[in-house]
Amino acid sequence: VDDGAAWRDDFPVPLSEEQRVTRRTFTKSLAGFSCAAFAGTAGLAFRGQPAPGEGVPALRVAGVDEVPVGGATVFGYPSEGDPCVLVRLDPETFVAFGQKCTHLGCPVTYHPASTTFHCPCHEGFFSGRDGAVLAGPPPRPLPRIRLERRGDELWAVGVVP
Amino acid sequence: VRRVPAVMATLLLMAGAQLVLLTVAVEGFLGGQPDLLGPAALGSGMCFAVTWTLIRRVHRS
Repeated sequence: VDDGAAWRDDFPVPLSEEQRVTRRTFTKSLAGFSCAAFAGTAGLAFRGQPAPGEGVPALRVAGVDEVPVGGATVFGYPSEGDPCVLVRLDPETFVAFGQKCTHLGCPVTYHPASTTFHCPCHEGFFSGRDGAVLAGPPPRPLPRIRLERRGDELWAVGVVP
Repeated sequence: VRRVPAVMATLLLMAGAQLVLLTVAVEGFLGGQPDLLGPAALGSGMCFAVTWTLIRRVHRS
């Protein structure tokens, strides 16, 4: 009913163009939303679980001489899609961590001057020695990659979550 | 007839809960916490089942 009230001028949609939404239509929309939300959550659960029987392979990361003291190199482990960082703390000490920030998955970068990893997304800081959270929103340390020295080569042999 | 508003309120609650569960799942997925994903999917599935059942009843009445 257009009664000519002044407040009707403030609404951008003319009364003649309003669409009536029936309860049936509304509940159908809710059903669609519910189905989509369930599908999304289930899809994430499916993709996020490790495949059954999936072993963690050993992978050659780098030669000992390929990484200078204080330097770092990036590699993928256990798959190419899982970026990790190998750091040489001193001539005999190597450590490796997953490169995904434990907050929301942004890649962290290594800063040799402070021996820290920095996440630029939300200013998270991790220790370069043990991956512990030093500052910022990350809830957990960086996952550590177990390393094994085989002669003059470094191999990744496992992940410590 | 009086049941319908209660059903509609429950449906909205279920939708809100599923939104929260989806958020939890996304955060668990991106943050490397796969142990959150299974319970979130299970909860979302239960919400979907409740929603579906209630909607069928509303449409029949």
